[in-house]
Amino acid sequence: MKIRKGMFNLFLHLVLLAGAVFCALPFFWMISTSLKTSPEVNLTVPQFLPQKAQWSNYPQAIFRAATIGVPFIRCFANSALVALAVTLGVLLTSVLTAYAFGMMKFPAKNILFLLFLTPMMIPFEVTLIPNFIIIQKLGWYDSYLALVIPWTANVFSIYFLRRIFERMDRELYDAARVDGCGDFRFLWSVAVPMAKPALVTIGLYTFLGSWNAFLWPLMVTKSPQLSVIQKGLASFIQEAGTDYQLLMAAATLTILPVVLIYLAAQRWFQEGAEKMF
Amino acid sequence: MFRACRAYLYLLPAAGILMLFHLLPFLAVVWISLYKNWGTQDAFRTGFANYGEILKSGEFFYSLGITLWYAVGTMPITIVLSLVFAVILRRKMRGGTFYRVVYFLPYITSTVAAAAVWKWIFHVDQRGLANSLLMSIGWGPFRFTEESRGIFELMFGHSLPLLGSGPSLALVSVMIFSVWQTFGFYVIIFSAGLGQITKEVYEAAALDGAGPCRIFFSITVPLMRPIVGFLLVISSISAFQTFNQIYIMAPGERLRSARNLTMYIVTQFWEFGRIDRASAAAVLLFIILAVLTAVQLGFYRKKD
Repeated sequence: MKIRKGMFNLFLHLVLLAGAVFCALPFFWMISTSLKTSPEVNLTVPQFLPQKAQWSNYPQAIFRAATIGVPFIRCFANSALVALAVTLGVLLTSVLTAYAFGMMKFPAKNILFLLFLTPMMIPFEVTLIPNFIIIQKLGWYDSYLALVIPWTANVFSIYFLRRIFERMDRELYDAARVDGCGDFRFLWSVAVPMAKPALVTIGLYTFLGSWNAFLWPLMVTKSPQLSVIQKGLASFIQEAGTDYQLLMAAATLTILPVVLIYLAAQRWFQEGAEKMF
Repeated sequence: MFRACRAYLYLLPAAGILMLFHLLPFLAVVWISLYKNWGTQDAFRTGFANYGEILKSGEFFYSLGITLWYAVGTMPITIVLSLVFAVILRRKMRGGTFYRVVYFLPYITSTVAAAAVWKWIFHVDQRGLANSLLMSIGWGPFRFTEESRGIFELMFGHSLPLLGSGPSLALVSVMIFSVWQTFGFYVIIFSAGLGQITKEVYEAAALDGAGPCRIFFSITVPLMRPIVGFLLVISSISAFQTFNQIYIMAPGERLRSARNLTMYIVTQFWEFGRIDRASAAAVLLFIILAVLTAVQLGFYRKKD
């Protein structure tokens, strides 16, 4: 009996391991390829590891991207800037809106809240083309504004935060008001610190979403100087030909910041995903 | 009164952005779809002519069919796999945290970069990892992301009309990518759901003499039904919205055998400059997704 149980456990471990290999293999293959020489990449029987790690592929990838008009480091900085601005914007607008809906009393509150939820029914792909026209009409085509402003309000974050503000202690709120503490002060000194876990989750997912966004930047920017990292990488893919070691080096660099953030904060990511249902 | 004004002030930033970049463009897309040659000198109102044109040309239904193949090919396998893995992880296995971290990694990874890696794995000759592994057991080489023939045609050698040959191998490559990318997310969602089942339920079942298989099918699966429903809805929505991985992995097939609805809309606009047609298709997409989203919101309400 004990042996059978041990065998069963071993089997389960093997299943889990197979899943891990499936998930991790592309990452391994990406890094391994990024460190190979060109002849090694072109071997008809691929080798799992390079003979000697070619770290020079990384600067070479950046250099090569520059020759086809992709300023890779600039793209990196653009993405970081845009993602940070979008994250700050989403946090600010969601906190204000969710606080108003969760804590304050005002006429037409429920109808307004329903109105606020309607964009949830309108996917980004449906409004893509008129949005592009609006950006043009605003004179924002090919600018940072086009990359940032449309994304600085998010219905899901408002919905998610409102539930948290609603459950907050009303007595504390009433006591603070009696003591002459205004809404604005209560919001920043009590409500926001109390909602910190939710804010971290929203912030991380917003940053991630913005860093990984591709279709929108592809639509609204054209100059290489404004290209975000995903767009830069896509141009590199199309024009770098078959130098897969350089392509994989560029892909590794693109993925790296997000993976580092994820490994540092993976608990928040997983808790956030759990809260989605 | 003053307080109410202040509340409206708090709503203002989000309201402005949501109106300008969500509601206004939605009204605009409906408006544009009713015009012919919108945005040019000879624009005129045509009623539903654009819709008629799309529905008659068959291209829209072709894209819809591709989207359905994509959904049918990715949803069941991802859901079954992730439920099994979540159930195993529930047993407090050693290294559980490690596995969860690894499974979730693809989900947070940039689709563009990861799709580039998979494209390299699915490279058309034996330099690609997939082909070299398959050729070592005497299969292939396959053209994977460049193969426009359906997988049933490749298997049985007969071509069938109207997508009867199955999704093209190019689309299947994208589907494998999507399973890889969403699997870990589903595992986490299922783990959260399983965590809500109390130990007593399982203990009682075990006392009644139910084996692990019986417990899985008679307790776990029925209790997970709302989560399965939720995942079915969000994954069918994303089947319609998939763009990045198709754009990167199958550039040659994105106008043909890998052209789902979003790709159809974008290419009508980009390749043919048909804003009117693209808008009508977008409205049709909206109607399909609105039905699916309504179902999704129903799941949220049930949970509250």
